[in-house]
Amino acid sequence: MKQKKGAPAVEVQGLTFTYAAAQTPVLKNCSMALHYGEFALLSGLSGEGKTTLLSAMAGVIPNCFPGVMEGEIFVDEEPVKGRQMAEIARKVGYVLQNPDSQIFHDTVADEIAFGCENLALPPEEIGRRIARSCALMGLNPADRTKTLSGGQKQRLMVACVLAMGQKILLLDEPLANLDREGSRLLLDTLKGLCAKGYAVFLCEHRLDVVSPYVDRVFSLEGGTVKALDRGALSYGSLRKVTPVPAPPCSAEVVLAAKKLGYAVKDKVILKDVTFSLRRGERIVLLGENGSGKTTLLRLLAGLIKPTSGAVESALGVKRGSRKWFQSVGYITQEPSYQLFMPTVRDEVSYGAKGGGAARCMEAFGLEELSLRHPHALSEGQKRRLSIAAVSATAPQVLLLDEPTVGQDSDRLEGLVRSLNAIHAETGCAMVTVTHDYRCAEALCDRVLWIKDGALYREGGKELIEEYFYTAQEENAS
Amino acid sequence: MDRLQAKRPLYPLVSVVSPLVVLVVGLLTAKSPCFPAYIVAVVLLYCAFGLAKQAVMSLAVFIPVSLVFALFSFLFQRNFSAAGQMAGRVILLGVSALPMVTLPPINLTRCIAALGMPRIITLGMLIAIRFVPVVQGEVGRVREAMKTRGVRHSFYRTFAVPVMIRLINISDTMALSLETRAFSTGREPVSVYKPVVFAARDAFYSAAVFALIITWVVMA
Repeated sequence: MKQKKGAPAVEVQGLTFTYAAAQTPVLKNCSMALHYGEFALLSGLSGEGKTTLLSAMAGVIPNCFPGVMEGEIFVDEEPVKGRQMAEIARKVGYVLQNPDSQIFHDTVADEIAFGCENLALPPEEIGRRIARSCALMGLNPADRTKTLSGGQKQRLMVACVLAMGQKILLLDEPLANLDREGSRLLLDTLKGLCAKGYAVFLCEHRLDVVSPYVDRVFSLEGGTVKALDRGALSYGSLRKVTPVPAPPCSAEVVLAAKKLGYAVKDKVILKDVTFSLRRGERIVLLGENGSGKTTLLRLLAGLIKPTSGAVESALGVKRGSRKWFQSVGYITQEPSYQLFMPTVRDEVSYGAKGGGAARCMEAFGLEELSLRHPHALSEGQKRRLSIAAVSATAPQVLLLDEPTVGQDSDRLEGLVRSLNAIHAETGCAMVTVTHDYRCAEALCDRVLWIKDGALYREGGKELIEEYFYTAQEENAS
Repeated sequence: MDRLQAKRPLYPLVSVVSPLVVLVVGLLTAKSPCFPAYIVAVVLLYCAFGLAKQAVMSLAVFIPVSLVFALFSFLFQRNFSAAGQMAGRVILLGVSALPMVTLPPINLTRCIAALGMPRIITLGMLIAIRFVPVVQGEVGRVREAMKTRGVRHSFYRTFAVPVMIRLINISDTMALSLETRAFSTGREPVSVYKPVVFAARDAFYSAAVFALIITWVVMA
C-alpha cells in the first residue's frame, strides 16, 4: 500500500489504559493523530506515561503488557485491537529505550539483518539496507556489537529499525545517549524520511535539540495528550539551566590523573590523559560517543585499572575499598544497577550521613515516591534516585555519568540545582559526563574535552559553546 | 566464548551432530585399552579442519579437570585402569564438543531458518545464545554497582535480588525487541541474509568422521 503524505498513519481515539497491577489509569481518554510526512514530538514530565502511549501505538500494549484498555488505535486506518505484534511491527518501527538489552547478534551487520530477515527480504536487498542504514547512522557493519559504546548501541537500534523500512517510526528517547553530532545525524535522517512521506513520532526530553526539526508537538499532562503550538516549546524547555556562582575551590588536589591510559588488547581507549581535580572543583567531560569519557570516569573511580599511567589520590583511603567508595561516589550511566533496597526511602537512607537522606529526598523530588519500589520507577525517576542515594552519603568526590538523561526541563533544572546545592554544602569535587548542552555550563568550573581517547582541549565554560556549536559545525562540513 | 569461534566453521548441522556421534561412540568404548588413541585421532582430525588452536585451549582446561576426576575415581575404586578411563572420558567430553562450541551462533540460527524448521527453535537458540553472556555481564555489573554504593556483601539483598530484577527486566526488553522487529513463531515467511551452505569441506569432514568411527568400532 502506497501511503500518501498527510494521510493518517496512526490515530488514537479515546485511549484509556490502566496497567494490570495499578489502581489508576496511566492514560486517560487520549486522542491524537499522526500523519504521513509529519515529524511529531511527544513531550511531558518523567513518569507521565509517554512510553505507555508509544507502546500502545506500537501494539506492545496490550499484546505484551496486560492491563485494561479502552478506546481505539488505528494504524493505516485499520484497528490494532486483536492484531499480533509481529503483524503490527511490519508497519510500525519502534525504537525502545535501553539499547543494551536489545542486541542479540555478534556483529552490527547481523543485528541489522535480523529484522529484515523476519520481513523475508531477499539477501541482496538486506545487504543494501545494511549498508544504507549503517551509512546513515555512522556505523561500521563489521564492528562487534559488544565493543560499541552506549551511544553507538543507540544508533545501532535506530539503524535496525530504519533498515526494516516501516513507514511509521516511533522512537522512545532515542537521543538519550547520543552526543550532539549523533543527535544531529539522527534528526537529519528522520527529517529526510518525513520529506519522503514517513511518519515519525518521537518522545524526547532534549527539546532544545529536537525542536528545530519537528512539525507538531504533543504534550502528555496528567495522562492526557494535548496538541501544543510549536512556539509553546520555548516556555522553558529550550533554555539553558542558569549557572549559579559556585564557592571557590581549594588548591588541594584530591585526584590526579598522570599520563593515564587504558587499552583492551590492541584497542586504545584512552591515552596519556593528565589533569588534576581539586577539592570543591566541578569538571565537565565533553566528547563524542566512544571517545573514552566513561572509561576515564571508571578509572578515576577505581573500578578499572589503567594499562598505563596512574591515578593519584589524596583521599587517604585504599583504592577500591569500601571506605574508598564512601569517599568517591560514582553514579553509573544505567541507574538500575545501583538500586537494591525495597523502597525509595530505604535506598536513599542506606549509608546516608547526618540529615543527608531527608535533604536529598526533598532536593531530588523523591518524597512522593518514598514508599515505591525503586525498580518500579520510570527511568528518569530511577536516575534521580541513584543520584540522591549516592549524594546522601556525602562523598568527597562525586563522579556522574550522564546524570540528566531522561529528565524533563523542570526536573533537569531541579536536578542541577540540587547537585550544585550539595556541592556547595559539602564542598565535594564533581566530575560530570554529559551530552546535554542545557546543563553543562551550570555544572562546571572547568571543561575537559576528550577526543579519540586523548585530552584534546582544556578550559573554562567558554569551551562548552565551542564544543557544542563550532566544532560540530566543522564536523558537519 | 568469542576466542573459541572458528575462523572457518563447519556446516552447522555437521558441527552439532558429529560431536554427539564422536562422544557417544567414545563413551561406549572407553574401556578399550586403545581409548587414548581414539582421543588423539579425534584431536588430529579436528586440527586438520582448522580447530588446532581451540583444541589446545580445550585440552589445557580439560586435562587438569580430568586428573581431578581420575583422582576421585581412584580414591573410591582403588583401580588405576578405571581412573584412567575416567580421565579419558572427561577429556573426550571437552574435546569432542569443539565443532559445536566453535560454531558462530548466527550460522546455526540461519541454518535452522534456511531448513524451514519451526521458528520456536530459532527463538530457543537466540535466547540460549544470549543467556550466558547476559548473565555474566549482569553479575559483573551488579557486583561493580554494589561496590560503588559501598555496601556490605549480602548474597540475597545486594546480589541475588538485583541480578534477578535485572534479568527479568532484560528478558522483558529482549522479548519486546524480538516482537518489535517482526519476529514471530508463526508460519510467516523469513529469509536468510547469508545462507550457510554445505560445502565440499563439510563433506570431507563428514567422511573423515565416519571413517574414524568405523575404524575405531572395528578396532575396539
